[in-house]
Order: sequence, then structure tokens, then C-alpha cells
Amino acid sequence: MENIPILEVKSLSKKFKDFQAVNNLSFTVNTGDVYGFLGPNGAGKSTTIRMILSLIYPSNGDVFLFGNSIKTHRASIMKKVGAIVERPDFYGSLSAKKNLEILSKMQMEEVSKNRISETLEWVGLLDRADSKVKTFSQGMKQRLGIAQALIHNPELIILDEPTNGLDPHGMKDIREMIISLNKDYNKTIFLSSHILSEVEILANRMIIINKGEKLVEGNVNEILLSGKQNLTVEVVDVNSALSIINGSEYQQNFKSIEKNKIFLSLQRNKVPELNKFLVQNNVDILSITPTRTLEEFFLSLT
Amino acid sequence: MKNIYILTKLEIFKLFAKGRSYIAFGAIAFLVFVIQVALLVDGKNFFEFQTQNLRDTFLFEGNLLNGYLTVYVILTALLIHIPFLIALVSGDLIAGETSAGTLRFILTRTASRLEIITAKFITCILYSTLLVIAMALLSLISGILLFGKGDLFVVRDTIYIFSENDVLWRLIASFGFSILGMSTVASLAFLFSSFTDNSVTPIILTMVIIIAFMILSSIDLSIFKLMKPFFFTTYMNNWRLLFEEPFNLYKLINSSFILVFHIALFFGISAYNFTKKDILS
Repeated sequence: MENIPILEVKSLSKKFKDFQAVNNLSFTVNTGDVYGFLGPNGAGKSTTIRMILSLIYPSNGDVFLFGNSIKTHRASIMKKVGAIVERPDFYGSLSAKKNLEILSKMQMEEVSKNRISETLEWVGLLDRADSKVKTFSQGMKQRLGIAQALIHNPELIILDEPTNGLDPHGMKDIREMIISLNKDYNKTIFLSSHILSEVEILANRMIIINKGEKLVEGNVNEILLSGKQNLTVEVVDVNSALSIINGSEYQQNFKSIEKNKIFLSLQRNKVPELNKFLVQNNVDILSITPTRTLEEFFLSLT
Repeated sequence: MKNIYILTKLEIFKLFAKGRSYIAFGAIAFLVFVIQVALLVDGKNFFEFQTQNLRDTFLFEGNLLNGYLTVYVILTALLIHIPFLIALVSGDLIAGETSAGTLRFILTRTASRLEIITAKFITCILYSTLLVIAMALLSLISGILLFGKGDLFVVRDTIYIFSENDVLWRLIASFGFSILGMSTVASLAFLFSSFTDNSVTPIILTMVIIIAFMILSSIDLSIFKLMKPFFFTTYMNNWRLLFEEPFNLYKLINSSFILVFHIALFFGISAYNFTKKDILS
């Protein structure tokens, strides 16, 4: 499929007094992407998202959505963009339905009551449509946040850490929604996260930023293959496995040992070879688990 | 304009969905009721006390403790304190949404920042207007029902007596002028609301400014007399001009323009700040 840019960030910078929050950041999101926007807390992700949505004005650079600058075409652009910026905050004393009605009217387009009900049903909140939002759990608020982003049927959905503060069940629900929005409804997703595994599961392309600057951008698999990751190899007989590893090329990848687990640092594309090597040397493997964190990945990049 | 109309309707809905918006109406209803009942019980003594120095010179006849007098008493007493109630709501209109985080969400919709702040400002002025109208209706209706009509006897630097037929329009015009005064207070709280992330600060700042201006205006020093024309509070109480003879129309219109200028100035600064500022909350 031809790559059609839907979001282009060009040389974007933001300085707050003496603090450079974002520095000369450029990247492109194409139509149909689930684009991971990855970085540790404080990397400048939310500042960048706020600049994309014109909540914050850039010190330098520009943001183009659907080929137009957000500076000059904000209203027409926002008709085609839905977003959650950080926490999903609503009018707590109003019902979920009323909140969606208000936000959809602020879109300056007629949104039918059916559309509101359909959206609430899609996020699994139809039975709580008339409940006051202040009675909602964090997970329900997050789902309502997705509903408000979808209510006007946008082409691009910007999600800023949508699984933050959720329990594993809530995280799973939100991730399934993101996959469905992309696969079933052809929405382009711009997903900010500080969890590498989340981006790995959901995104096809990604950018990693730190201290407001780009570290790497590209295809998720290619990026992840390029760096080393930590592996936990769980075996039946740790001593015999360790002696085999020590006498091989994998000796340089050895990091530590704990009970029946051997910790190695290895490039992702070398994992099948390691597996094969251990099996050929009669090592009984219980599991091989990648345990790379975002921080470790950063270290492998720098 | 259509956008602003839609947004204003939404703002009014949101405003009246909040409990705090009714505090001012409740307080006014309560105070009007208490003052009227107190005047009903002890009004005769109150009136005699007010006029005791004049009784040797004048003969008082007819229903002088009437509904119009009670409305005048209420106007004098409450218009000094209503700014507190107005600041409570106006100061929360932007800052409340900033601290609650809902501002982020509404600013990611199609509506522009200028349209949003204009709708909020219209709501702010409408609220002040409604509050003064509620006070006018409550005090006039209850006053006339409880005490009936009659001539209005006003003791200021001198004594003014207005015949029964000449009072109602003056009271209505006073409430009308008070709308301008209260809208100026609301605009000031709104201005502070556009600068801060919590709604307590604008309320406190507004009240500090009003109290400071009133205190400085009341001190009889030449430096404060020179400053007095520059305090908008100086003009807020000029509804009293309507209860003087001869009636100084020029001064009343001048005061009205000065208040309107302040309202426009406060809104202009609010709008400029709101459209230019980074939303960090």
C-alpha cells in the first residue's frame, strides 16, 4: 500500500523558559499506521501531542495533518481527529451520555443520539450511559475517553498513554479496542506509551524519543531486531546448560544466573539460533522469555 | 455566530449543572426574606430611628414604611456583598475547567479558543444579570406584597422624597445599572480565571481588589481622592444618582460607559491571554 502521510511533524521544538522540552523533532505517520510514540516519562511525549493538537504552541517548527498546517487549518483538521490527552477528565456530575453530547456539540457537527449510543455500546458502557461519570472507575473513564475520541468518526486517533493506571484486564480491553479500530474501522492510530511491549504488540511503526529528541524511527520489528534484549532462559539442569554456554560463542552474552534461570543479553534475531544450539546440546529448556524493558532498550541504542 | 450560540447554550447548561451556581440565588433569596421579615417585625422602630432628628421639623404621614423603601434598603445592603457571590461562579468558569482537566478535552474539538471564551464570557454576564434580576423580582414582589406601595423617603446628605408614581422606574433603573456594576465584577473574576489553574485564586483576587478599592475610596486623603476616578468601584454605586434630585443623567451615563469600558477591557485581556496561552493542565 502506498504510504500517504496523515501526520507530519517537522522540526518541532518547544522551550519553556530555560527547559527544552522538545528539540527539532520530525516524524511522519502514514494513513493506516498504528504508530507508536515511545519514550520514558518526561521525554516530551505529552508536550509533542499537545503541540500536534494545538494545546501548546511550538517555539519552532510546524505540524501538518491531512496535508495542512495546524496553525492555519485547525478547525477543518480537528473534524478528522479524535484524541485523549493524558488522563480522561470529564464533567463528573453529568452522565456519560451527557458528556458525549456536550463534546460532540463542540465539534460543531450534528451527531445523532444513535451515534452516541453506538459509541457507548462499542466501548462497553451503554448500560452505564445515564450514570454520573464521578461514579466511574479509572478503566471506565478511559473507555469513555476513547468514546469521546470516536464520537465524530475521526480518521486519526491520538491516544496519550491510554493504558496508564489500568489493571491488566483494563489494559487488555483498551489494547483490543486499539487493534479493532485499526483493523476493523481503518483508523490511523497515534499511540503514545512508555511501555515498549505495548508498542511492540500494537504498532507497525514507531519513534523513540528521549529528552525531547528523536533516538530512532521506523518499522517496529526492524528497530527491535537491531538492538540487544535481555533473555531469561529457564532450564532443568542449570549447571550443565551453563557449561555448554560458557564453552560457546554465547559466553559473551552471559549476564547472570539465579536458581534455574540463566540471564543473557542477545539480539532478537539470534534467539532462534540460541534455542537450536541448546536443544542440539541436549539442554532441557523450560522457557525462553524476552525481558527487555524500555530503559534497557535505550541503553542498547546508545 | 451560530457556533457561539451553540457553545453559549452548552456553557449555560454546564453552569447550572453545578451546585455552586445556585448558592448565590439561594443566598439572595434567604437575605431578601430575612430583611423583609425583620422590617415587618421591627421596621417601624427602624424607620423612627432613622428619622428621629427630623421629627421635630417634619410631620410624617401615610405609609412611609412601604415596599419601595424595603427594596431601597435591600439594594443598599446587598449590592456591596453580591460581588462575593458573583466572583464565586465567574472565577470558576475557566479555572474550574483547567483544574478539572476538561479544558483539554473541549479544546481538542472544532470550536476555536476565541469562540469558547466568548461563549463562557456571555454566560458569565448572563449569570450576573440573572442574579440581579432575581434580586429585583424577589425584593420588589415580596416588598409590595408585604408592605404595599407608597412614597419613597430617602435620607442622604439631604432628604429626598419621591412620590409613589415616580419610584418604580427608579428602582428598575437602579437594578439595570447594578447589572453593569455586577458584570464588571464578574468580568474581573473571569479575567483572573483565564490566568490561573485553580478557581480559588480568581475569587480571592477579585475580592481583594474590590475591598482594597472601596477602602481606599473611603479614606479622605487627597492622594486617594486623586486615585478614586480610576477605581471602577467608584462607579458601581452610582445607581444612587437615581435617588437624587435633580437627577444627574450625564453622570449616570458617564458611569455606565466607564463600567462598560472596564467590562470590554477585562474581556479583551482574558480573550488575548486564553487564545495565546499554552494549555499545560
